[in-house]
Amino acid sequence: MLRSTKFRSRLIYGLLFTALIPLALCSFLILQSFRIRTSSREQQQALASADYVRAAFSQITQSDDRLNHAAERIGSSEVLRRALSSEASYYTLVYTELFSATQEIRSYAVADLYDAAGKLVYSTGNQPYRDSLPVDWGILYAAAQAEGQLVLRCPDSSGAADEPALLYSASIHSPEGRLLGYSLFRIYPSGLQDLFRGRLGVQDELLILSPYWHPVFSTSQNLFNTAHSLREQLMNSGTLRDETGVYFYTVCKDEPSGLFFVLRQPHMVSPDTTRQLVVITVLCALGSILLAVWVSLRFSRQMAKPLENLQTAFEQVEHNRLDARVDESGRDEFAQLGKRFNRMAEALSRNQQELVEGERELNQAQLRMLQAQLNPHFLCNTLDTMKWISKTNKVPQVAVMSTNLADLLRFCIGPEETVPLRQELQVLQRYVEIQQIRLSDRFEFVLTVPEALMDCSVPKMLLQPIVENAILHGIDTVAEGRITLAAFEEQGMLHICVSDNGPGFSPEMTGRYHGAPSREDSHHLGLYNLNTILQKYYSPECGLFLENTPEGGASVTAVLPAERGTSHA
Amino acid sequence: MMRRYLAVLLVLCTLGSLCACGAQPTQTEYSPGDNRLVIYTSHKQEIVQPIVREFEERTGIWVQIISGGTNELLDRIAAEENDPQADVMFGGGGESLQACSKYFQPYASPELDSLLPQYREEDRVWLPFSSLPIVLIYNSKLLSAGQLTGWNDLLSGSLQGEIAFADPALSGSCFTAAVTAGYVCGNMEETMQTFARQLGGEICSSSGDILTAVEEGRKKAGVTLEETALKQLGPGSDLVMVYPREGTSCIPDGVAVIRNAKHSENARRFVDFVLGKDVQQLLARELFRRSVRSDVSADPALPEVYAGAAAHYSIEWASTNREKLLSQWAFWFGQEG
Repeated sequence: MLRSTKFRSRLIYGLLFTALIPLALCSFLILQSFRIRTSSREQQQALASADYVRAAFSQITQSDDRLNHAAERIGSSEVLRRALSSEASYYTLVYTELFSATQEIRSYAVADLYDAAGKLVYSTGNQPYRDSLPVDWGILYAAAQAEGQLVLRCPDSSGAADEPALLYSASIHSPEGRLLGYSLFRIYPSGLQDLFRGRLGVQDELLILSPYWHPVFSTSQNLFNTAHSLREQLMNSGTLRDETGVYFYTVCKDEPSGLFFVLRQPHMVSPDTTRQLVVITVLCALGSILLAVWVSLRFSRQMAKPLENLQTAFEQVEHNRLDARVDESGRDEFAQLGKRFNRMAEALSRNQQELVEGERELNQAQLRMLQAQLNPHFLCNTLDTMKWISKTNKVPQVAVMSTNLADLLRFCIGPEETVPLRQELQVLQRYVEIQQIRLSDRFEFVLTVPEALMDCSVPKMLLQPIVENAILHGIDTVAEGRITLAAFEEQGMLHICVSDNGPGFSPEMTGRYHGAPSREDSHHLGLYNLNTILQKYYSPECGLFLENTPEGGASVTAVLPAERGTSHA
Repeated sequence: MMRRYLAVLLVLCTLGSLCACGAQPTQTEYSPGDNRLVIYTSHKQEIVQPIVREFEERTGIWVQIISGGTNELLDRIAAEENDPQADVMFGGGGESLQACSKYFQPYASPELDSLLPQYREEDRVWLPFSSLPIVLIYNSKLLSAGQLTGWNDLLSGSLQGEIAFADPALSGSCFTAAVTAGYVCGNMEETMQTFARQLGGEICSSSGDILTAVEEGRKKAGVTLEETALKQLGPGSDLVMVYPREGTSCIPDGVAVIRNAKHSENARRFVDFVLGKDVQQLLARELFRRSVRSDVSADPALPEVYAGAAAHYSIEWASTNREKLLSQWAFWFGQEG
């Protein structure tokens, strides 16, 4: 089962890749475009509301004009100037003048008069701010520097309601230009609070910062307290960021005053929502991973089973069990592959069977040849004895026959399997001599072999059965028998042709030799064995070919490869 | 292969640009850029804040304040020697600044000429900011007037184990006090040895704890800075402040421009500002400190400080011998009695 792991993991990765990448890409794009859309929308809205807030503050900027107006009136009032330059003044008269000068602004501002040394002399409020203020420091110093112009200072404030958020001041001069004192206008958080009431969204918070980003006023104490860290952020990175990710900041500057308005609003898409979206995406990804794994397991199981069967079958074939077959039902590629495999196994098994049978036949033929070689040494010796006896008794034919027979036998029992054609022909001569004596020279034997072919090696005793066949069947019936042995080479094949002048073969016998061994026809056994040896020893193209000569005699041709010099081991 | 890389690159670019689009808006346009000054200060918020706010208003320079202990900040300056993060060291005793002189840039402020003659040391890399006399305090419920009038009363043995004092290794003012006693009473080592033994093996955790210890009656007497004592004095307090009759030292704390500071021009403007008359007057008027300027008179309620032999107090000497004196002090302190 594990053998298909690699294939399966490839399948899993492939499916994961095709499932996850588009999913991840899509969800990232959707999330991102969603964020961009919402953030650009919320930024536009925030800028709009910041402008709205600034417009609200411009009431103070307009009131700035009112403050300027009041400051000018105070500065130009003869009564007040006199009150500041000399002690002797009518208390009520001074206040009447002061109240009438500050009528327009007293709803949100408290007006004080300080003398040239910074000592508080008159105030429209009932809670004095400071009894005296340094003239070389802070707001009065700035007012003196501005020479009559209204200046703004943001005092150090903790955001408490009883501390002024903004201080405006202008110096007061005598017509000759002598510094008489200062007018001071205090604006408290409550005044600003009134100004912005109803102008901010429910969740919006406003922080007003001095030109150097120190907190002046805020609608929420919490935001007021973060002013310091906002200033650090601005100085260090130029970007305001909320660590929790819940809020975002919008900043705009009020040019005339130099004050900054910072609006803190919650994101339209809170981090919680984003987290939720991410979680959903991750869950989707997980789901698709599971699906991919499941599908790939299913697929691989479906494919792995037939593959595994095939593999087992191949293994069996490897171990030479050719009866292995696979299930070839179904119509898919695997079934076709199974069919092919089965056919291949069948062919293999058929081939093997043929091979085995051929081998068995060869072995039988060789066995028969051996059986024919009966205890030859004894026979040879006997023949030699016979030769000497016949010589002593003056019977030359017996001597010749026994000599030939002994040579023949010796040649037969020699160890070599192939011999040069020359030697084969010499031994054949002995055999023919014996037969000639036997048949009282009723036939002549003609040998026409070119000298060039004499060295070709041939199987031992190749020609004897053929010539024997010619003597037995060919010249049996004719008075002047004639056996011819010719040889020639054609296309690397040695043809040795033995022909006679007998009656010839019956027509059905001509062509390639195709006899079968039979006990009854022992004459043909020699030819059958010879044919088998040639075919099995060399190749199926080799063997014996039967035909009739134009004169009517029979001709047997042995065809075998023309190999020279070397003898087969 | 090439085409595949190109495709991947394209996708990444698209994603990158999308990410960039999603970024938050920035407020860089309102950022002061280099129009700023970074101050390391060991002064308390109540001193730094008004000065810095006024500096911002008058110069338009944005100031970043980084507060810490003197030694902590000097260590930071030493660590940042090659890439200074701050421009000015504001605060810290003269001896501490002198010891770190190689991290500072000498600055001959035009205000130097207006300083009191004793503070007009032109070859120094730091400049004096305020004068801080060492004073004695006692709890009026535990000691009667006349029992503590000067250094010799402290060293006489009658207040053995009753003196509130912090470890001079940790508190700059206590180190100055011990050295001052040595100057005033003659033989430096002998005096300091006697002083150390008078403590009876007990010290306060910090110089701020000295006042609390005396106020609460844990100790009868103590040694502290005039500024610290003045802030604590007032109706309802049992503390009495005594200027030692033998004289006392007025070692200034200082301000210094850090070497290779990124905004050294702004730093010099700040030094001029704090040495200027307006700030010095603020010190005397509201912050219980004595000005180093000749043209700013102290609070008329405060007496002239009689320096006596302490006038010879050498900041350079004290700074060079600090380590030696401190180790000796630790030894004497351990001897007890």
